[in-house]
Amino acid sequence: MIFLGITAAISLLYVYMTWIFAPPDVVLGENVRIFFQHVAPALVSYGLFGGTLLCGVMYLWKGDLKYDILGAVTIKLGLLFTTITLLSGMIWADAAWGTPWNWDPRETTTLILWVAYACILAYRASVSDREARAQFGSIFGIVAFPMVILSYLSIRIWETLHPIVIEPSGLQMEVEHMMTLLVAMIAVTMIALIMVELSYKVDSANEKLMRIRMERS
Amino acid sequence: MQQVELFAVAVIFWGGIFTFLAYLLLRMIGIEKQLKIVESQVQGDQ
Repeated sequence: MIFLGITAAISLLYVYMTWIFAPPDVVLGENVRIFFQHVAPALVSYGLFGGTLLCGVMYLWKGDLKYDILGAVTIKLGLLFTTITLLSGMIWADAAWGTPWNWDPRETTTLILWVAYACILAYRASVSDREARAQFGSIFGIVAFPMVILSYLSIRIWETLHPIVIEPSGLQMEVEHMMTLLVAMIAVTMIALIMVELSYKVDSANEKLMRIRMERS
Repeated sequence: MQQVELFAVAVIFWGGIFTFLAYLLLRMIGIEKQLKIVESQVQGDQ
């Protein structure tokens, strides 16, 4: 409950900073407010897919189903945040570059990333053998992770319309925008953690329900 | 036009999060109900 309260408070601060505190950007103008609702879910989705990788390795190592359930949860939530990233990015691209989709390297690799993890979810939904689902689901979760790295590095590998904000020397933006992005990252990460916990509880309860039904039939 | 874009992004962002949270809560309620029914059936069997 304390964590929930802190998350609600930081989320309100995030809303305040995004819409009121952050000044319009010199180049982007008011559209800079999209940035905080685009970059934060993108980075959090990368973290969630990192969790999928970790859960996959842990399941293959320990063979404990809880890692498989957690891995599936991180895929679902990673897809949710990637969807938010893609849609908000399309609106931003339309405003900044005149068209919602440019087949820019970052856009294309993020779309491939989305399709790859959606395929894993589709695979998991289609296989009834619990052990096979867990084993191959874990392997696919590990195999798909390089796509996350490629999506992140795409703006450095290929020529792109995407601005490079995170440089080795630091963030290339105004102090107010940097502070807002930091709060955005904390808020979205905390929201994602709450969703992971809730989703894990739901899927564990569903697993128990399926097991009881299987035993009875 | 700019305000429409900002509003659309806010709807996608918060709408996505709250819709998923609502889905999770409804699913949780549904599964808990089914679990209670199935568990009472198991006790009945015994």
